[in-house]
Amino acid sequence: MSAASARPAVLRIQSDAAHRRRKQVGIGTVYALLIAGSLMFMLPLIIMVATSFKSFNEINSYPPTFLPKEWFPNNYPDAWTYQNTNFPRWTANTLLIVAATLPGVVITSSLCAYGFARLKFPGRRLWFLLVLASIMLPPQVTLIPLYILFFRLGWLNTFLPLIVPAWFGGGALNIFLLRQFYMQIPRELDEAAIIDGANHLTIWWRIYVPLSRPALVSVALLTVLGIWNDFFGPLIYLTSPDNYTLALGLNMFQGLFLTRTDYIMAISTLMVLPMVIMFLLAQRYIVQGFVTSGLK
Amino acid sequence: MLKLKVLVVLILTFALMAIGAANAQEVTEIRFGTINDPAVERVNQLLVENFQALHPEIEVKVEYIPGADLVTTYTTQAAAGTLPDVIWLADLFVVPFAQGNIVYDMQPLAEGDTNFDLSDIYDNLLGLSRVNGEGLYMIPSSYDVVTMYYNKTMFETAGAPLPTPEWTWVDYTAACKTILDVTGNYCFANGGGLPTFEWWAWVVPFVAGHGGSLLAEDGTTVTLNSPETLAGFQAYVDMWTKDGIAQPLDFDAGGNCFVVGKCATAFFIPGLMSALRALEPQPFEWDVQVVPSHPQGKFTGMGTYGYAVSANAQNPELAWEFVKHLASADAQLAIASNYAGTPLLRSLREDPGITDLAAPPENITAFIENGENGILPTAFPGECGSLYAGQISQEIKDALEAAILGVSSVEDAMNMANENIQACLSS
Amino acid sequence: MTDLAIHPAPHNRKRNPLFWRNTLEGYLFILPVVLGLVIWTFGPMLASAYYSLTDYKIVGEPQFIGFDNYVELFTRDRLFAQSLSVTLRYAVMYMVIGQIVSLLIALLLTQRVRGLGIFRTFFYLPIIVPYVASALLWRYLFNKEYGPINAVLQTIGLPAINWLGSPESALFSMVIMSVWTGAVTTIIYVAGLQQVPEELYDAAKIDGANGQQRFFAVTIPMLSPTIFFNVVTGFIGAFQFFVPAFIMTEGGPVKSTYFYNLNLYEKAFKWLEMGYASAMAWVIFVVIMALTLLIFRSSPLWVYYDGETQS
Repeated sequence: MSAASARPAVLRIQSDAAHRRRKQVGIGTVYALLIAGSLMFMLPLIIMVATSFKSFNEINSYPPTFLPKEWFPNNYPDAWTYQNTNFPRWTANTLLIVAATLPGVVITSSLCAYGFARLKFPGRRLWFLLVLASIMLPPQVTLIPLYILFFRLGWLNTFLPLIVPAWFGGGALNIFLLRQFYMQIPRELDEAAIIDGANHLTIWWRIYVPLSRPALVSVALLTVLGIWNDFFGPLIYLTSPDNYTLALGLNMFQGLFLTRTDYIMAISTLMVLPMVIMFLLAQRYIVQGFVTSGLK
Repeated sequence: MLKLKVLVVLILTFALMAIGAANAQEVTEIRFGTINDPAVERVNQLLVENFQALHPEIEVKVEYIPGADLVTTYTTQAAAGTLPDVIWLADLFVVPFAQGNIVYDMQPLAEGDTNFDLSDIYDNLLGLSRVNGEGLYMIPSSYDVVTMYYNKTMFETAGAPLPTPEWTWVDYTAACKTILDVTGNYCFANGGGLPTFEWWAWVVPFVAGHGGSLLAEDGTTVTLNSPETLAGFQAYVDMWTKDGIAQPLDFDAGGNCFVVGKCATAFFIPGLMSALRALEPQPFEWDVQVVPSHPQGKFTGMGTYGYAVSANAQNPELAWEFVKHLASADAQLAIASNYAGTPLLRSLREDPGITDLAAPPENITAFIENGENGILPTAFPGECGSLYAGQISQEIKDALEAAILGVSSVEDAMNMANENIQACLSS
Repeated sequence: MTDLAIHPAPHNRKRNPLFWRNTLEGYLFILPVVLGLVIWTFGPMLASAYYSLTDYKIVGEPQFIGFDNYVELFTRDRLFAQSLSVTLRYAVMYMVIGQIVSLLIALLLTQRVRGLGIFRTFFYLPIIVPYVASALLWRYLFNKEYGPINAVLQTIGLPAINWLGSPESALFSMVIMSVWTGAVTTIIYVAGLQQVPEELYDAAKIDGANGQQRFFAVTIPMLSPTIFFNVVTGFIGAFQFFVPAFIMTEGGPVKSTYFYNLNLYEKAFKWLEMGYASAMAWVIFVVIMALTLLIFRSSPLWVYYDGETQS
């Protein structure tokens, strides 16, 4: 936050937007709404966890139960060691893809967003429109040519189709999102820095990256979540079970005549845990951001 | 300048796309694409073991295809030519894959193989592996004819008579009405399978059973609205609209209606046995019986999966060695012992490996006795689709849904479908 | 001089020595995405444009047939209009309800209270659930006979609703589900709200603005770039929405949830009519592009960028 001291008071960011406005509503109402909303939004997850503790017979009975009649924790070890699965390995694969993809997404989308938000050059609008256009064509019809492209590159059944493209801008949505945030940062800042002799790379790194932390953290969170639960990418590109990801591995429980819903829910619950922890940690980080600025 | 840039962009793209092409190698491995299902796993192992015993020098690489969205994976691999040498296949893929030269015609290999007896496999079932009766594009896995499963406990609780081989659909309906009145449960499960590929296997037998057909014998005139065909559709739709014994289309039992014990019967292929037997302890008593008779006799559907040699196979003879073992007594009895199917070989008809299997089902031979009632999906000419996919299946399914929901009469709905399909066939 | 570097006046831009430097710098910054588009995106897009002019059955070679697919689409395909109408109705409902609900939730989640991080995580939970599990969960939630939603409705004396089973309510159920799992939009609104300078509220307060006035005079304008993002991407997403319908309703009942992209998916991978599906894709591409351009054109009227205030 080296730029923090240089910025004018009006730019103090990461403040609590609606805080004062809502004060008169009363903290009790806020908590009531938060708790009611939390219960509603937790409902799918509660059902998932509850189902993961039901016996196979209980799942296959009518009418379905909400909470297990009898708690059946054996689903967890049974699912983890199901035939032809290798969940430790698939966890490692998934983590590897996350680790190899995340820096690419955050760095390159932020760089591109800076270019689109702050630099004037011929073709800027056209390229920005092309970036957006890339997500307007339904992906079902580009799937086969893209697959053939990766086939020709010899990348099938490797993680490369899932990792490498992320290093080329990190996705249109992320570029667009960060561009919006960067356009919001007052220009007086970079102009002052340019007078001081800073180049654009310095301005980007010293001013824009720190000031857009909530947006960057959001991009990172959504990227990790996207990879963690990505099903269609691995489905098409990874064929050998050694290379499966967790989301793909979940499908091993869907058989021809028999779907092991109990196991799907158990592994899903295990998959959700790290994501919940990540969200909790990241939220604390963002919340802390504006709490400290509030002390200034 | 921008135009120039775009041009450079295009050239670069194509240059990259052109990089590298798969180069042929000596066969040192064989890729085997299959699905992960406990019921099928033993068969997979048998095929691999048998092949390894014959060819220890060749490595077998097993690739599991995730069950969900199998179609997308397969078609993409087919388009790019990256399918494994030996592939898992289902009936609905046979015709499009054969016509697109994705799978190999094994007929010459089967005929030239002195250790393989094609005539031992039931004819009607083999029809699912052929295109208009020609070629052999898949070795089916089991004698997968749709047979009646029934919840014995529910029948007895309701005081309804148990199904017999002599049953007609009139007897069936009467028993089901008793069950509905006493227990509030439905009879005909699966909502007619409308969202599935196999919907025809429930409906078309009703049409045939009333003397109707979807297509006239000339092979070009659609006969969805002939009096006999309409009578068949009407009898089918009556299970919802008149008698209320079929699982309503909007009734979600949270699983298979029969398996969860909310529907008294299910019409399904033998593989459902493995799902039912996975319930420990068994929540209700159940058994199987041959399908009831229509006015014109007994008719039912068929639907199976199997294995095929893909056109990518570097050495089709080698792949054939692998695939053909599926139709061996060894593999067939293994499938049966897992309750994943019943033998497709006539020579195993009375084999203790099937007749002596532990109950349930008590009456497992009903699957085989019922076998000859299995009919093939009507084959339509031209580019309008089939009963599995495309406009033809779409039109008939939509008409059936409208009739079952009471949005339209059977006659009106089928008149419209008939007109639309005929228009497509004639264009 | 510095000012010129950022805003070169049009008449002297070619003579300005900084023009070429700025151009070079600009392209260096966006180089990753330019390369990305060139390598991964344009080729497949062009290929699909070509497929749209062919009879391409996936298994087998594409046969060039000119504009036949487009003609068929506009003149003979009754499902084309049907599915486009489903998607349009969904998009409008989702945009109105989804944006308002997400914004309200984001406001709630930026209140300064203890345990906010935990509450936020709770609100985001529905999108964390893996895809395979979610279909089963949502069908259970919406179930007519035993679903928790209907249980709540009946407890408070309301009639049970046949959510996914009736053609009247199935599409709206999809909207509810999308809003329920709309945490991505909420997360972005939260990030946007964090970015609103606190001092602006103080200034407005000194000027005597009440809560409502501050919301419309400060929050909305300062949040407008974020709203703009969510509206544009929301539309793009809504027009391509189909996976939940694919796994939960298969487009039914009576085609009431037969989304445009579900139709397209079925044409491509079930009917194996990839050429026809590609034509469908380019039609929806043009619709989305036109709409996006329209929103972009309107943006000077309502999107306020703090960074562009100097002139």
